[in-house]
Amino acid sequence: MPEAPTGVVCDDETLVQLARGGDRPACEELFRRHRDAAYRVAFRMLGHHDDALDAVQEGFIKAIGHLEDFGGRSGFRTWLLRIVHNAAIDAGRKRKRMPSLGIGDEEHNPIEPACEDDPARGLNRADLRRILDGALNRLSPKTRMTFILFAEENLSYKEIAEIQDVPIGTVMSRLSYARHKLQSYLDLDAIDEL
Amino acid sequence: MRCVDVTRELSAPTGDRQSSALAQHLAACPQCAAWAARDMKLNQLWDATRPVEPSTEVWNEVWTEISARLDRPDVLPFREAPTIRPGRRILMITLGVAQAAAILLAVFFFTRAPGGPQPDATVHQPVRPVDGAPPSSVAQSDSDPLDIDPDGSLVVLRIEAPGKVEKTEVALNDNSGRVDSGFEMLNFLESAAKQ
Ligand SMILES: [Zn+2]
Repeated sequence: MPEAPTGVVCDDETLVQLARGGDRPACEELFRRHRDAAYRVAFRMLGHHDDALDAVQEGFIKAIGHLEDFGGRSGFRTWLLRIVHNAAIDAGRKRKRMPSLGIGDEEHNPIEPACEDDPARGLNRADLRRILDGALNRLSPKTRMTFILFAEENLSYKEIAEIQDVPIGTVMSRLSYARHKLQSYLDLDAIDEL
Repeated sequence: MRCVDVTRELSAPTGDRQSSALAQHLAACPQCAAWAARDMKLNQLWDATRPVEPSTEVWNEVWTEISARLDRPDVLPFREAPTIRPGRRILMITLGVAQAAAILLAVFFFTRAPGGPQPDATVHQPVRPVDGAPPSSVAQSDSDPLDIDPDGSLVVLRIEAPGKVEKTEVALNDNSGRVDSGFEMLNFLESAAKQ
């Protein structure tokens, strides 16, 4: 891990400066620090492990290749997530490999737990994820991403606004809309044990 | 507090979640209380389905791939972006404008100088017929005359042999692409200013 002469671990800003000069260990350290956050966001967005890894990989290569465009106004993580966000939305648009529950009418067919998923027995993690992914998939990609950035990464409204290039008010509206929609898509009352 | 304000505050908190008004509303409004309970369930569902992060081995493989891609010259030029201080930028612009002005002045004086081209005196001056050749509008003088082609290009006329006139187009730059001369001049001034 790149360290300053005093032994103090470099902050992202210093690592970015080093990476701009072609310092590969600095690039690797930036990757190591932010890969998990990028993966979580991409995975929630795409619902598929391999697609999420692809989005992280492509996003990171783009980020490092365009470091001169990084103004430093927001942190490197926000900037990287912005790139991964775009990569994930593109990938989702192209591949449409989001797990599907075979739902029909979007607005009038709330997702029910599968019949074999007896709430009394408790749902396993894969079942729960399948149910949630199905509901998330019914949100528009941008609204879905707003919700994911907030719920998964606990980003501030300002950070989400920067990543999505929208006003803060839009972020808050999307969050409110997403929660209302998710509540209507999910039969949350039927899921007793979590 | 209205119901819509309560659900909005629960969805996208502004920090008033703990306010007594919100608590009072939730205690008195079964609809909002049910909404809040479902919202909490949604949060629990979210927490229960958090992605399992890839193992270190998987990440190492991804990094190996990234590192290999970064080695490709088309992916990573790793060039330092040139930084120009504001003062230097102003100096460069001023020099560019001065260069352009000097060139314009030189062109102006060249065309007005006594030994320089005198379009009015030479163009359209009839040429004495040689060996019975019909008169032409080409001037025959010691200095090569200028003319303007039908397409608007400035040309130098040179009599190579009796009855044979060679036209050479005058261009500030290589203008083989037949770009409009005015545009070419503007281009030249712009590039001079940028240097
Ligand atoms: Zn209410």
